Amino acid sequence: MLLAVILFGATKADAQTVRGTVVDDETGETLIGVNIMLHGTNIGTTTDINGEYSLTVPEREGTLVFRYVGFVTQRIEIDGREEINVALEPDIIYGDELIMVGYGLQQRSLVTGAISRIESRDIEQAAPLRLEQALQGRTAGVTVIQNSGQPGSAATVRIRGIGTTGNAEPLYLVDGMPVGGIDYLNPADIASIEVLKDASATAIYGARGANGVVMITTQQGSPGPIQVNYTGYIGFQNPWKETDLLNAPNYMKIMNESYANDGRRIPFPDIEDRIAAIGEGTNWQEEVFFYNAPVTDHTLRLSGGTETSNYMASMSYRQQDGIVAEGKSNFERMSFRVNSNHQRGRLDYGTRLTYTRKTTRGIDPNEEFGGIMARASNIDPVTPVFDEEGNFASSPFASQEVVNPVAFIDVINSEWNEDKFVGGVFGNFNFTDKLSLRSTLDIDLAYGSNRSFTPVYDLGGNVFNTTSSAFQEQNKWTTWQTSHVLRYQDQIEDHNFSILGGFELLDHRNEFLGGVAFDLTMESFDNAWLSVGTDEENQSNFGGLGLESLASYFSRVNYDYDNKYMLEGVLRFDGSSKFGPDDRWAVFPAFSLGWVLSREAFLRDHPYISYLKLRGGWGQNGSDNIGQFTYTPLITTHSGYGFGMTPSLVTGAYPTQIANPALRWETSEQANIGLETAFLDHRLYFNFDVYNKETKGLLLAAPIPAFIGNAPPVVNGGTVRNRGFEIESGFRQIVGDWRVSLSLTGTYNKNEVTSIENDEGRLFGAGVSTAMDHVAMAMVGKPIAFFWGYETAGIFQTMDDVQNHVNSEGEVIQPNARPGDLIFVDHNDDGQITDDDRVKIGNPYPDFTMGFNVDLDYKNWDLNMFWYGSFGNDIFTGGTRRHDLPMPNWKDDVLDRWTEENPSTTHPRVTISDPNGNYTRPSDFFVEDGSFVRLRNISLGYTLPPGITDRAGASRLRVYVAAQNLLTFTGYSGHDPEIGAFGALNVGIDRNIYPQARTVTMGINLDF
Amino acid sequence: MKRLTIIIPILGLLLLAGCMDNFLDHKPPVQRTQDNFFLTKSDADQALYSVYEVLTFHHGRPNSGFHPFDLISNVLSDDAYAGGSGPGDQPSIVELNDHNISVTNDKALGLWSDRFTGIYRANLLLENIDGVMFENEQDRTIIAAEARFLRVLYYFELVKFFGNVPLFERPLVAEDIRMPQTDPGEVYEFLVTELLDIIPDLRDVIPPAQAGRASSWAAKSMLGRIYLYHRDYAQPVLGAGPLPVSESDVLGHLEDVINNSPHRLLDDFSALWGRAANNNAEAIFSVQHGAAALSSFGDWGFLNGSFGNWATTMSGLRGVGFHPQYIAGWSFQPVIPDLVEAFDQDTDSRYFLSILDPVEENVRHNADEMYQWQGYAFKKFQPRRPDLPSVNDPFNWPYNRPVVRFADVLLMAAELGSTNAQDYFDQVRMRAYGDDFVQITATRENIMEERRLEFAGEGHRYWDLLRMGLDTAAQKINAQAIQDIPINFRTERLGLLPIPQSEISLSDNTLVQNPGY
Repeated sequence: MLLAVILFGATKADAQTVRGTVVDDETGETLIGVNIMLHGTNIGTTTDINGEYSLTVPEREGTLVFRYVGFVTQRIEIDGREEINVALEPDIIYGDELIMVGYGLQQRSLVTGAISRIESRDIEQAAPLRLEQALQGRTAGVTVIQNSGQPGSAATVRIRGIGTTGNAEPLYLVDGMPVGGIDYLNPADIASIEVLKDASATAIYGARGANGVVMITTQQGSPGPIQVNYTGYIGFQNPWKETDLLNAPNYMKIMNESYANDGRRIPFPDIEDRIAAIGEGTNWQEEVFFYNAPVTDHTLRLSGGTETSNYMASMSYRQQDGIVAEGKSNFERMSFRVNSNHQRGRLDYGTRLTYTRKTTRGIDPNEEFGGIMARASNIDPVTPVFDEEGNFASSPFASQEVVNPVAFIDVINSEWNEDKFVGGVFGNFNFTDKLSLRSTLDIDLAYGSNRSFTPVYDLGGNVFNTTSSAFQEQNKWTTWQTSHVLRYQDQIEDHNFSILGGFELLDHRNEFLGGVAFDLTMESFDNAWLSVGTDEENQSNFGGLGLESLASYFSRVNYDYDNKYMLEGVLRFDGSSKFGPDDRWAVFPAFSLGWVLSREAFLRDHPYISYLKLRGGWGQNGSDNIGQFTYTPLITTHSGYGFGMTPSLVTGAYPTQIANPALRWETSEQANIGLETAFLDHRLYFNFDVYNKETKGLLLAAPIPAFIGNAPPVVNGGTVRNRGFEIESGFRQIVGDWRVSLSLTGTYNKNEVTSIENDEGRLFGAGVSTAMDHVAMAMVGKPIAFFWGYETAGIFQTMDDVQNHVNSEGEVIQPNARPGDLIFVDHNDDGQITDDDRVKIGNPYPDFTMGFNVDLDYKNWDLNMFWYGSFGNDIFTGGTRRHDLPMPNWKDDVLDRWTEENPSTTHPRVTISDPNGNYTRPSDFFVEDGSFVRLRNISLGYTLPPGITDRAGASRLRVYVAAQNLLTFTGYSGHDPEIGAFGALNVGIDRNIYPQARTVTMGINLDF
Repeated sequence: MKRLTIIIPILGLLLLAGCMDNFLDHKPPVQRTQDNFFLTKSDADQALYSVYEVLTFHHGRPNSGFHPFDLISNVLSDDAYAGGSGPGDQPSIVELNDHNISVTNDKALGLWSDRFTGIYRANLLLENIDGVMFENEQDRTIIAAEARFLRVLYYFELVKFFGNVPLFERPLVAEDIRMPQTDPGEVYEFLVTELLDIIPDLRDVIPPAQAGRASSWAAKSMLGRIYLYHRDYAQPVLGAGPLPVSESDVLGHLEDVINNSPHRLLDDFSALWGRAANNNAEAIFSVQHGAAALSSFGDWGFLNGSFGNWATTMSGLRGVGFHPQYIAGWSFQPVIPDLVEAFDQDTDSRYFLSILDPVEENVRHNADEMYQWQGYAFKKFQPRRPDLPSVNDPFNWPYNRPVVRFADVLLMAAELGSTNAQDYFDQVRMRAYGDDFVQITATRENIMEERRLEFAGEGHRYWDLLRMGLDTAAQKINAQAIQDIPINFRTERLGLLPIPQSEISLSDNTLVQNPGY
């Protein structure tokens, strides 16, 4: 271990004061805001902008405690000195700081599993709207895709690829309590996030660890006088791009050509007159975007305490409008948190209490029929927003769901309200120095209510509603968990070992109640409650209960010799109510080894290598992410038939499906090898992990024929493999007044389905609009959710080309084709283009993602830049235009379509009847490279000089401007290349995604 | 003391371990399981209703949809093309219309699996009904008889569409994947034996509140239907053996329906159509359709859950806009002009009620959006504004589909050579032509032509064509081929749909593909 404390001789001065400077031991930079306490008293202070402190003490005796987030706490005897300068040893790059592992802390250098960690500093810099975004690019092996730009919209988080066609979300634990999602958390309350990636790290969570575990630790108070921090910003959001769609003149030209190509009457014979009248026509994107949509966020945090008791209290408020559909897409969150820790003798205990209120109004973020962006992209530019009478205009050209999007925004009304309380108490009793028991009780109580109002409207096409209705739904989720862990640790000479054993119970119930009322007496969203309905015959209600429980025993053994050779074994025994009585329990084992080479004699004082560790492990995890009672032969009731002169409903009952009482967990088995290194006095570090993860027993519908007459049972019948590697590296250096810190992460993952034990050896995924079925697919030998479609081989230029496109028997493969149509490859050589010719035409998941972070400080200025890149992910664009309809608008790449004058080889001719299926067959024509590089975050801050801050009574005041998504480099033509998962087999399909916002914020950090 | 603090948690742990299995044992809170079902009459009623419910299934499983029985039958015949919005809109319906049907056609699979779902539910009820406690034994008899009636209906449709199907009278389990096909003759024998067996058990009078339940008259009428189809198609084409019932017995049952049932021919053909016509006196057995109340029925993820008539939404015109009479739909099954021309438009009152000519009626429509549109739509089940469901119109059109109605019984009795054949035939035609009625002879050829007109759009034509012989069917159907609609009915396929390929593979190749595929 490096020498951490540098002591200077005492000099004679005021007997009442101790002063000095605190610096980072590694870089030498001064540290601002280090907490200094005289042990056992309330006397304390913090360092100022120059890293200096001055503390008045009764006498120069006793122990000073130096604490700073991200650094190892130091205790120093005053021993009569006046000046005590301290170099704190950083926690973050290597070494002996403690990090969270399941049910405890471990010295980082002794950890044998693959764990990534980010800290409050990273989160503060990322200024994420959702906490998951802070993981993006900063933790290798974790793929985060924002599902859409809608405020409050979820993010798809995949740890080491996707191994299931069911729920692939990781397990989120907040201070040890499993929570369904983490959007209730205020990012500013978070102290650290650990991501457990390999099976040796996650096996302690057994049945829920297969998708990885994200452990979140919230901020704690530290001893010292009350500290007050305020952070706040306001910002404005705008679309970062507008998709290039046709304007009215080009639209009419293309439509006329489409109809003319089919030998039909053209729809705009009067095109010149129309252009004279309407010019460019309507830009529907401009009409639906909300420019300069505001976002504002305020957090106030108070913390402090004594050596034996501390607290942290915070409150926060955020309001964010979306950039689409003003007033109908927004998010509001209020939260409070109180954390406290206390110690008395052998007992430590503490509480974590938080309450959050959330209000979300949202629109369909990625829907090809009814989405706002879909309608704005499909409706013709010829139609104005308002007609001559000032009413919303309806389009005579668009049809079906493609209606005036501005009018539609006007009639959608829905709101989700959630009140969530998460609280816990823990106690830790040390029987001896070696033996302790930790017990916890946590509760997660959430009330969610959903309400919507549908007025009477007729927007043309088939979008109308003849009876007003109000929908109301109330949900209550109650979860409690208690865990009791006995821990024993001992040291015999150089042999260190610890043993942990415990059990845990978790119980979850969900009560719900809701109804629909029709024909309301007052027709507005404010009045849309069930009691306002009048149509009693149709009014309906529903209600029920969901139940699940999990019981677990677990144990972990750690051994190391002289902190050099480590060995760990984990065993978890889980029982879940989701499985039948005979298959309820399962065992999940893991073991791992580590070797810190840099502590060996031959490397100990190496001039360049400061740290070198090799580790490896193997383990098994489960996933119980299936519905409740799937194993039982349930009876479904359904009112789908009726009798009587005017038939009225009766209730029928039938078995839901053929039951499979032997249903089992999905099991994921993973092997991991990792290397951790640091060079040049830890200025440079480089970590590398390589893994192989196999998920077995995928839940599938069993292959039974339909003549059996009931839905097939769910069985365990598939395997998915994920292989990849991850890099985390960084460098920091100080040159004069300049401080530079760089970090780079990279993730490569290759996903392959290795078996699907149903008849067809494949699982069909999502389709697009009405014509393109099963665009996504899971099939043996291919990545999960790959795009399944026709391969094209260019465009027929002449009728001869059509006649010459034959199979080996000489049969013309596409007899209906004309010049300008796509050439499809007849893979099975049967002379026809059928589903059997469909192959893999794209993969929605990236091959490689990377994050690059730059911190640059110069005197009082700080600059942070974070770049994120995703490479090799494809996007299926067939859902961006309603090709099944005759007259939706086009993206302007259609201007390069094939015509006799413009023999394009990339874009087929335009046609309405489309006998060749250019626009109805899912082909690689609709696949684009979705790779992108984004300047996710950039911020420039200035910390005011102490002279000014002091006068305001503050210890620190930083002002900054920041921008998110300021720059995006992508070849993708749609609204946004970030398209998340809307189901396991519905990924990367663009149905006119709600795009991400470009946000500019201005904020301050103020400490008292 | 210290020891105690250790012992207590350990003891606690052990105690808890004993309770763990209780802790994990939950009973489904809102659903019954098979273990506590089939106990009471109410259970048996609900099980029976779930067999009836399958009559409204148009969507197979899982989600291979949009194959109402009448619409598919019409599209197979010489009365209608496929339609929709374009060739990409339900291409498998285009395949059926062209008679260029692939073995993976999802409509074939849907028709197949829906009917086997009904059979499974009927078999499950029949296997368990003996254990149900009834206060009145009569209820047991009636419920069992209706379940058997429905099973006959489902099997009859299966054997019509597919010819060679596996027959079983017990609920299958997951292991029963290797069920061989049964000789069609045996299936027909089963259907007739069942009907004869349940006629005494079924009720002669159905209370109005239960209208739509199967009566003895329904069974007798279906006996005629099945007998004729067997006589004219199954026997000569599939080589099915003779039935255990004589032609005169069958005719006797039909005459019984004509003379003694509460059913009769309505005076006015127009009174048969529209919501008000549901369960009219002419309806002997109808699939019930109504507007189910709430949003859960407007569920695109559970299309089979709806109670409405899907053929209605599917046959509506496109681009209607606001019209006092009509609502837009999806423009499937556009009528072939050959059927339009078969009507005497000036004298036959059925023409205006069976065929919608939007130009004539001045209904706005967008011909460009309607694939294969020839200017005419079926009208009997057109979506009409006065009946517009208050919510989710595609799911909730309240028009019953007649399975067998009195006019059909009259024409069947005429066809079977009743002594009153001419009278029965005239009754149907007199209603149609009114004052313009001119008698023609009740020959089989005339009867068949009359059936085409009387039942236009009701899904009978294709089966009547097959009864006229494969060559006639081929000639009439193929005559409708025009530019871009290459219809090619092949007699070697015997008019059957292919056994779904997935069923053949999933049965471990126990099922054998139909000839010609």
